[in-house]
Amino acid sequence: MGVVVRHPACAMPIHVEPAVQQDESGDAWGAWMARAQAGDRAAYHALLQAIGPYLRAIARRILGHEEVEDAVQEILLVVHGIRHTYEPGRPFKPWLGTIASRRCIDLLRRRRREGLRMGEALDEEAHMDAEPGPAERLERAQQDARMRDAVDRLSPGQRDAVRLLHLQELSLREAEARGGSSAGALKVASHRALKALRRALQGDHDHVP
Amino acid sequence: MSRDTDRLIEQLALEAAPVQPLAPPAQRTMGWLATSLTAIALLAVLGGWRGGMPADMAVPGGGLAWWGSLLTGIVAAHAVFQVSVPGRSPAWAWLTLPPALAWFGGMGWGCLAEVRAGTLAFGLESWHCGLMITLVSTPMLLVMLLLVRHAGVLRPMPTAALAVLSAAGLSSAGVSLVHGQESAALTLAWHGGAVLVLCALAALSGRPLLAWIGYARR
Repeated sequence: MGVVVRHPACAMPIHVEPAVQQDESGDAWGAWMARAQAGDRAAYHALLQAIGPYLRAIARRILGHEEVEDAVQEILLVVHGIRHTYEPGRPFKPWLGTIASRRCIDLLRRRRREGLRMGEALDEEAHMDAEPGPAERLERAQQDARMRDAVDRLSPGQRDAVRLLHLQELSLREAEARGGSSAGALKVASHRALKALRRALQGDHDHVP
Repeated sequence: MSRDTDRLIEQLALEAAPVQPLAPPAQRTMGWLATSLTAIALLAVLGGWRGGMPADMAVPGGGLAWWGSLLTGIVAAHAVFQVSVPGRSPAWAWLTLPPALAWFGGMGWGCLAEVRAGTLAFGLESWHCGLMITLVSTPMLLVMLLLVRHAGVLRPMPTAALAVLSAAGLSSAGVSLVHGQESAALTLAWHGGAVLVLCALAALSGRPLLAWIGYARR
């Protein structure tokens, strides 16, 4: 005796034979597909539900565990698009298996292509980091020129303070011993020099008198 | 099963309009051959064919080459309708090999005979043979690719290459009916050259071409 299953989308009762319910063989699926081709939406819904685990197993075998559900959905779309190519009466599983494995191989190919593109983009980015572009080089050159001008404009005392405290990284006491100025004078000179240099590096538009 | 997949299945079931299943490959091959052979015979009559066998038959290897090209066209058509259907064996493509070998072997045999006789000559005189084969087989190829447009998701390259072989084999046999008796070297150069170039182009462009005219998800 058969079982009546209600189709969730169109609330249409369909009669499912026990053989179909228990044995999910390709022949039963083929019979459902033949009914689907004739316009039986409930049989089609039942078929698409039933083939899920089979498709998932193929996708897992070819693609690994990544994006299996996406692959199943892609396969379902292809099955839907070319469902007229199933010839009723012929074995259904080879038909479905060919579509599923071809689709997974295409997805694998696409994944590799995208991986390759991503690798190229990363290489390009690394290359750009290593070698500044023309705009960056111009900005650096302008910054160097402003720095040289600003250093030239410093008083001899300020220049000495910067050289000893910041370039040679001496302590205040060592700088005092080396340059002959007092620690306080060095501190003031260094502070003013750094302020002037900072202004110069920030550019004229940022200059606060 | 994920909720997204369930939703997709419901959507697809709602959209499922009735479809006409494909006819068996043998039936489709017969339909294709009836149409294309009639079209080629008509073109040959317009080109001056009076119903006889091709003049090339008199050339050594000419008969083998002509029958080979005709058989290649027929067998390749059947192979196209087999390999383009999911679940059918791709090994059908190999069936095209014997007639294609006979076709090219016949032309090669003629060339060898000319080498032995010292009459081997290559020239540009019969360039129109290559052009005619290309002109006749291109529309045939497009029609055939439309008939198997679903193959874009399956085996696009062998399908396209076999489709070219079928169209070119039949049109080469047709063109041979109307051109005069030619040297085997010229036949090989123009007929064989046109077929090989078309095959290579089809194999290279099979995937994008079938994706363009038919159903193929990228």
